[in-house]
Amino acid sequence: MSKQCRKVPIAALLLAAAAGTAGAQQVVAVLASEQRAYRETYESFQAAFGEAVPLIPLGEAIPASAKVVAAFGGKAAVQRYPARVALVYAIVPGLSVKDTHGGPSIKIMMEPEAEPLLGALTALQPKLKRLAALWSSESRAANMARLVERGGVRGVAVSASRLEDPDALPGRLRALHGKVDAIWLSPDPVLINAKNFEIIKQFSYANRIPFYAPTQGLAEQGAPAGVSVAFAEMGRTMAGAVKTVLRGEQPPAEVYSAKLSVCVNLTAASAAGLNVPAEVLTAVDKVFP
Amino acid sequence: MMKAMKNILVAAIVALQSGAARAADDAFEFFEEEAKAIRIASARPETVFNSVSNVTVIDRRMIETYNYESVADALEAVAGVMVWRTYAMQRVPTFRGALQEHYANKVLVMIDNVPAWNAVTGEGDVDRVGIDSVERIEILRGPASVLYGSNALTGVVNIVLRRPENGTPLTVASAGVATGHGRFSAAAEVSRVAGVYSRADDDSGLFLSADFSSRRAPTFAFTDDTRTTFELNEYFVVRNVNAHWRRGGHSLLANLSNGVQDYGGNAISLASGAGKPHDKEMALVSYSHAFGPSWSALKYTGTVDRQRRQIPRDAADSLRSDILGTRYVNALTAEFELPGAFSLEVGGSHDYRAAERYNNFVSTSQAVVADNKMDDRLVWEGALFSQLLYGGEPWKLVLGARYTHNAAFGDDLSSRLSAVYMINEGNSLKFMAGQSFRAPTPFELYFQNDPVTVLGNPGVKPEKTSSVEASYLTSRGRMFGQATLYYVDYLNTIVRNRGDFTRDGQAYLNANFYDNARRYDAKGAELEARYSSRRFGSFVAFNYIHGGRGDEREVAAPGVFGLPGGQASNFRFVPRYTLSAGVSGNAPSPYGAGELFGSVVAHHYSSMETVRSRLPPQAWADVSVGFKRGGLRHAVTLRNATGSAIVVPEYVRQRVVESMPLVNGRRFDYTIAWKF
Repeated sequence: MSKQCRKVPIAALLLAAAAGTAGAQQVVAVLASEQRAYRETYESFQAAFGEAVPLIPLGEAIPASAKVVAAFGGKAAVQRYPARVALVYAIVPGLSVKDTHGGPSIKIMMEPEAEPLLGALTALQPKLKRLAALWSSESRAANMARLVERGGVRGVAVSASRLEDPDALPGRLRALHGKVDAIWLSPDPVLINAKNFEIIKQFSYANRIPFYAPTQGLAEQGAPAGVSVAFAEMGRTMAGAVKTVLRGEQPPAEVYSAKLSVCVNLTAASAAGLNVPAEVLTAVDKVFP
Repeated sequence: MMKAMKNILVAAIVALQSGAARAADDAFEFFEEEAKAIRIASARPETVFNSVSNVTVIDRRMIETYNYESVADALEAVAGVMVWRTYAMQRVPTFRGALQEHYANKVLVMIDNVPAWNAVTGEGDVDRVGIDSVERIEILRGPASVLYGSNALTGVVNIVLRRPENGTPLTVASAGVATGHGRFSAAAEVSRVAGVYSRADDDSGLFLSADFSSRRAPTFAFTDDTRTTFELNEYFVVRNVNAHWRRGGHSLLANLSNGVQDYGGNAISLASGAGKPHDKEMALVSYSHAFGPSWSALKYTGTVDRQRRQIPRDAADSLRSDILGTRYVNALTAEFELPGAFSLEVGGSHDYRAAERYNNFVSTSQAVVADNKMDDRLVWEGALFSQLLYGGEPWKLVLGARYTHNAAFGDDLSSRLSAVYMINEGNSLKFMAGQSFRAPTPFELYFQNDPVTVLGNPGVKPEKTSSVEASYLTSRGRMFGQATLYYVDYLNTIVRNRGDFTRDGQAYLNANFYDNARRYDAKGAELEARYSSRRFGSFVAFNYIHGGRGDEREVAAPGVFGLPGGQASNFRFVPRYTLSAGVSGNAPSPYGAGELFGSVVAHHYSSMETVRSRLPPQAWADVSVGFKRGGLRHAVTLRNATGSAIVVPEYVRQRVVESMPLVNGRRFDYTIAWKF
C-alpha cells in the first residue's frame, strides 16, 4: 500500500471523529472485512466523497440519522438494514440485495458493462468471433444475457450457459474445445478459486485458447489478460451514486463504472497463443512481463 | 564475499517468492470471502416469514426436479404435512396431524403474502394457483396468529408467484396429457395447460399467468354408507388466472379461480349427491402500498376476497346449495428501527366477513327452498399486533403479541417468543413458543338445515393452539438438515360432534353439530434433510407424532348393519409416523446436446385407526423421467407406480364407511414446457 493510500484512512478517521461530535451522519459505511479489496474501495470512496463517512462494525445497528448505507463486500451488503435507508453496495459480484433489502438499493457493478467489455476483448484479440463466458451464480444471469445480446450486435457469438456445478468445470472446458476463440471468466465467487483457476489456465495454455480475467490480480497469476474495473474506480463510482441519492435523485439499480482497466500478462499471453497488437499493448494500463 | 552474495541472493529469492505467494493469496482471497457471503445469504430463509420461525421452502428447482403436479402434491414432501381428504373434499392440508374437516380452516393459505379464505366457512384453497405459475411454496408449521391473524392455527402455506430475473422477461408455455389405469377403467385427458408471462425492471413489474389442470382418477368401486356399491369417478379440475403488478411502492394482486371436483355426498351415498360436481369460484383483489417516511417503513394492504361454491344435495343433482361470502380486509403495518440492533413491528387489521347466503335451491328453476338460517350473517374482527425483534449476532430474538377483538366472541391475546442462536455460519439452534386463535365461522355458528346434515352451534367457543418447539439446523456443503421437537396443546378445537343437541329450544337427537373438543395435546419430531448437487439430489422428510387422546369420545353405533360403535379422537386417525423421500439425477444426453433427468418420490404412512378397525400402512411412489434442451423440457411421470389404492380414515362422519381413497390407480402424465 502506498504512503498516499495510508494517509487516506487516517484522515478519514480524523474526519469521522470530528463529524461524530459535530452531529448526525447521513451516510455510513460497512466493510465485509479488512480484506484489501474492501479497504481499497472504501478508501477511494471516502476520498472521492469528500466528507467523513464513519465505519460501522459489521452487525451493529446503524445510527437513526443515516439515510444511506455504503456497503463494501457481500457480508456487509446482506446485513439487515432499515427499509428507510438506501443501500449502495459495491464489490459484491455474486449477490443482489434487491429482494432482501426493504428500501432502495443500488449496486455498483464489479465487471465492465457488456459493450465496453466486448470492445476491450476484441481490441486485445481482433479475430475474436466466438467467446465463451464462464459463470455459475444465479444472480449473474441477467449480466450474461446482456453479454450474449451485445455480442450478437458486435458480431461476437457469446455462449454463456450457466455452469450449475463448479465441479463440472473440466467437462465444460472439454466441450468448448474447438468451438471458441476465447474465454471470459466472469467475476463469480462460486466459480473462482485457486483450483478452478489452475484448471482454466492449464486448458488455456494446452489448447492455446486465451482466457480473460475479471481482476488484475488474476492476470498477474497467469491469465493472459485482464479486463476489469479497478477497486479504486469502483469506490469513485460509488461516491457518485451516494451523492446522487443524497440529492434526492434515484440512480439506476445497477451502476457501471465508466473507466476500464486492461492488463496483459506477456508470459501467459504467449503460452495461450494471444498476440496482442503492438498499438494495443502500448495503451493498456498494466503489463506483466 | 561469495558467502555474503549467496545469502543476499537467497534472501532475494525468498522475498520474491513470499511476495508472489501474497499476491496469489490476494487474488483469490477476495473471491473466497464473497463465496462465503453467498453461502450466508442462501442459508437465510428469504421468505415472508421471519427467520425465527419453523419454515420449509419448496422452490421452483425442486418443483421441476420432482415433477410435482400441484401445490398439494408438493406439500406432501414436507415433514409434518399431509394432504388428506374428507368424504366431501379432496386436497385438505393437514399440519402436524391436526385434522381439518372439509371446510379446512385451521391452515392459513396465502397468495403472495395475502391471506385468501372463505368468509362463510373459513377454508383456504391451495389449488387457487397452478403449479406452473408457482415460484416457490413457503410452509410454516406451528401456530402463527401473532403474525398472520386468524386461521393460522396449525400452520401457513404461502404460494409465491413466479418472477423473472430483473430485466429478463419470463415466458413459459406448458401442456400435458395423462392417462389413468385403475382396476376398472382407463381414461385419457388433457391434464395441464399453462402460460406464464412476466417482465420486471427496477421500478415496475408485471406478472400474468393462466393455468388449467385436470386430474381424473380411474373409475373404482365404492361402497357407500347404505352398503350400495357403485362406480365412482373421482375428478379434480381447476382453472386459475393470476396477475400481479407493481410500480414504485404500489402493487396489485388479482387471483381468479374456478374449481370443480366430484362431491362425496352429504351422507356418502348416491342419494345425497355423491359423484356430482362440486363447484367453487373465487376472486381475490389485493392492493398494497409501501411508503416510507424517514422514521419508519409503512405498508397498507386492502383486500377483497369473494368466494362462491355450489354443492349437490341429491342423486339427480336437482337440489343444490349455494354458498356466497366476501371478506373485506384492511391492514396497516409499520417497522421501526431502534438503537442497538432492535427493531419494532406494529400493525393493525380489520377483517369484515360477510356470509351472504348458504341456501338450498332447485337447480332447474333456481327457486330457493331453504335459507338454512344463513342469510346476511356478518362477523367482524379487529386486531392489533406488535413484535420486538433483536437482530444481533449470534442471537436473534422475537417477542410478539396480538390482541384480537371479535364482534361475536370478545377478546383474545396471543403471543410468541422465538430465539435463534447462530452457532456458526452453517449451524443454528432455534427455540419457539407461540399461540394461535381462531373464532368460529358463520357456518359453524349459525347453519341450521332440514333434514339436518350438520348444525351450527352459537355456543361454540373460539379454538386455540399453543406450542413450544426446538430446532437444530445445519448445512454442510450441499447438505441441509433440520430436526425439530415440538409439543402442542389444542384447546377448544372446533369439530363435528354427533349426539343429542338443543338449539333455539329445539332438540335434535343423534345429530351432527359443531362442538368444542376436550383439550388434547401432541408431542412430535420432524426431520428434514436435503442434498443437492448438479447431477444428484435427494430429500427425506420424516415425521413422528405421539398424539394424546384427551379428546377421545364415544361414537354411537350407526344403527344399521349391526355395526357396533367405537371411539374417535383426532390422533386416533393419524399415522404415528410418515416418511417422504425423493431422489433425482441428471446426465448429459448421449444423443447430443441436452440433458436427461429422472426422479423417484415415495411416501409412506404407518398404520392408522378408524372408528372400529385399523388400516394397514400405506405407501405409494411417483417416477419421472425427462429430457431438456435449452428452454424446452419434456417429462413423463408415472404416478402411483404400484397402482395400489391408498386409503385414509374417514374421520368426519364416522358412520358406516371407515376409509376413503386418497390415491387410486396408476396415471401416466406427459408434460412439455417451453421457456422462451
